[in-house]
Amino acid sequence: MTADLVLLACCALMIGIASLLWHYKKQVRQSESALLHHLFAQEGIPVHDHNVVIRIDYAQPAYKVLDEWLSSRADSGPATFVILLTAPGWLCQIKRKSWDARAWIVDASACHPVWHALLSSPYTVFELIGNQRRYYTDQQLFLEQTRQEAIAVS
Amino acid sequence: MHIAAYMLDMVMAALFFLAAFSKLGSSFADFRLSIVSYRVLPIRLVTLAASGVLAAEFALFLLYGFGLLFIWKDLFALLLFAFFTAMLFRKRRLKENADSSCSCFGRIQALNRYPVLRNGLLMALTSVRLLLPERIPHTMDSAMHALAGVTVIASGVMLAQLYASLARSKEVRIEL
Repeated sequence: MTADLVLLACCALMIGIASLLWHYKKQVRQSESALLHHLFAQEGIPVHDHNVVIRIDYAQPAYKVLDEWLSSRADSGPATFVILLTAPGWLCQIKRKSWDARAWIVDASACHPVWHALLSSPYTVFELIGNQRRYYTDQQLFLEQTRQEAIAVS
Repeated sequence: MHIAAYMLDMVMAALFFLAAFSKLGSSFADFRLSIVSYRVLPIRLVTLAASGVLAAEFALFLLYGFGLLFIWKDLFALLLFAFFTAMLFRKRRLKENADSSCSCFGRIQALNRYPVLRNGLLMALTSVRLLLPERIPHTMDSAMHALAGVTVIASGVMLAQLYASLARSKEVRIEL
């Protein structure tokens, strides 16, 4: 008799906490989507079905991969590709011109601080496909994968 | 001896649950991508492998929690750790600027930072466990103890995640 009660209590406890967790995670999901829409609207960036925000420093090796891909104009990437770039202002300006229609640049040092909240350490890439959110830690791997997928599709 | 076996089993169960739980949801894609980076499987098998690892971790959590399949699961765990460590060395050899951490524990950076050391410690723990007696709960008491341990682990990890979610919720709130 007591054993059944204990079993029931344990299961109820775990299910209860899991439900609470699910509820708050859903709330966070909605907040993050709303935040993304808000930040994009502020910068005049359109929201498409496939959106990527990537946080990158021009001194990182992954930056070369990104620059080469976006400047080459080969294979299309995600419809909305936002680069949260840590670089001197003049470099941001130059890249805005050379990456033109392929990507949007947000200057990491001159943007609303909540951009950094969206992409807080250790995550460097945020991908929104429809309603599905994905976070990545390695920009270079992500870029290589996205590029592979773009080639496969075309 | 039996208390030591119980404690060690619970530590292993907790680690496996933590590892599995931290890969769920929006972090799964990142884990999958890290498997791609090992370049040991064709792309179309990577998602299957990632799901497989996740399932194995959940299974090991339950097996350690309830003390089942003694010796077998411990040897399997040892093999798993050895395999992951080998993959890490391989990745470091392939790319000079490969970061030395892994994403085995999702957001919990403290457990991600020194993966070789961490895996070594886990292998040592598993080896010690093999020397201790088995723990199959065949009395009502021991079954209750096992259930209690499993409940504490699962609830504890989920509560920690709940706390993290609440903190995250504050971070991403916009003042409109």
